[in-house]
Amino acid sequence: MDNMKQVLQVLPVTVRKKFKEAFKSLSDVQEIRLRAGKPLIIVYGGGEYFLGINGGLTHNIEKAYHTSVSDLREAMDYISSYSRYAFEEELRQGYITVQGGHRIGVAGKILWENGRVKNMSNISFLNIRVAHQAIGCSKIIMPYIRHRDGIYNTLLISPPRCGKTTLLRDIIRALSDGDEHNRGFTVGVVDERSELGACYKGYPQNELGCRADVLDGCPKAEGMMMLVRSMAPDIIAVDEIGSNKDASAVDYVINCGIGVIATVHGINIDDIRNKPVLGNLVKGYAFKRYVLLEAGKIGKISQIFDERGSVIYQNGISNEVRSA
Amino acid sequence: MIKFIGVLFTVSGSVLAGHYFADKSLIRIHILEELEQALQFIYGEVEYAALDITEIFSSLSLRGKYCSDFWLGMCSKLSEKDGYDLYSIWVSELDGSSWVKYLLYEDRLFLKEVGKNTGNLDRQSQLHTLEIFKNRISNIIETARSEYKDRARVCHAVGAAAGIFISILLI
Repeated sequence: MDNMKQVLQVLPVTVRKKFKEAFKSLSDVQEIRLRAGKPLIIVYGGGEYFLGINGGLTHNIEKAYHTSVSDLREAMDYISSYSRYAFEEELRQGYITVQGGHRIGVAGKILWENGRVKNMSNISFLNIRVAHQAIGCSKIIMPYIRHRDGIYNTLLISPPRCGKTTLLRDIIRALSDGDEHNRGFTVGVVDERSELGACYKGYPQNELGCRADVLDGCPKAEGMMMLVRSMAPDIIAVDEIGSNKDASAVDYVINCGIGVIATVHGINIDDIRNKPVLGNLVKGYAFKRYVLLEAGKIGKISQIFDERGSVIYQNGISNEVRSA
Repeated sequence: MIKFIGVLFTVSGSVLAGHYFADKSLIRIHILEELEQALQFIYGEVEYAALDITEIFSSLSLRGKYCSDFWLGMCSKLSEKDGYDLYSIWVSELDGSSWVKYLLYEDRLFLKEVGKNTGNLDRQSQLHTLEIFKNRISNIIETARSEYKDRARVCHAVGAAAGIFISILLI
């Protein structure tokens, strides 16, 4: 099923028809926002538009199609495959991943019990985030993180929304598949928030290569231990490490001789060094490479450091070239 | 001789009709038993794996003798995502199923109620509702079984008596 069809399948029938008239493909569509009684908004090519009442896109709110409550109910039926009970955990997290890896954010009335979200009812707001993979975006950094027999333990650092997860996903794919010069590695992926593989019914919807094993929805620390014990990975990839348990698990994995590629929120290497959780790993040279993404520029690699903090790559120029 | 053959045909015809109505009650019991197993299966899948309803119906379509077409139809209509909710699809598939003719009006109402309360509940409520439906269908089956012997006897007797009565009238 193609990308367009997967997204259309979760839209209410009335919206589906108008959407089809407005778009031939989803290549530039980023988000579709449905709010009860409000105009349907499409984030397209970096701009925001209303879906027109007669199809097409408009900036005029008067001519915009307004989403009804029954539209939202219908969309929720499709998103949950008519099985609300099967998506309780996802609703608790606030999003559901559908076929194709598209992530649907949901908001409505929260049912709170014993200090935690029990469920969500009266869902009146949906945000369909269309999945776009950036295959090949890791090409630049692969020579810096891969060596002949394996990889350097690598930490990808950036503020939120700079493309860490997208980059990590492509690194997993590249390492797992290998190429004509480099063998592929067995990569264990701990995908706690289903962002890397975007698994739908257990199958990764994003391309993670032919040697990747995915633990979907599993807490990171437990997942890393499970993979070490069960899947004999060469490398373990994990997104957004942050807790003491995560750091201990990373340490354990590294001590087992397994390569680690992880991401973390941060501004620069000093920021990470000063964090109580990860500081010890950085100071103990557990990571051999730090990849820093440029703030405000999605997927742009700013610098790559070695374990001692020396720059080996900066803004498109490698250290060797710079020295020359 | 012709009269004798006529009587023979009439009596055996009405005995067969009586047998048909008795058999219909038995088929009803078989169908209800199959539906009970289906409810048990749905309960198990929701409880253990929280599989979505389309997958569960798809598995059910591979089992059973009478209702597999119904589950298959549900599965295919739900996959179409064509603007109908689960209950509308359930009712339309149910009305279009050939085995429904063996069920009583109350059985059909019960089945519609099952459709109305499937899929749109949270897990705990869904399991609780399925538990209630399982108990109700067990009771229906129990009643049907206890009534079956008497009903079958009545059907057979009425069939034979009607045949004899018609034969006397014709002679």
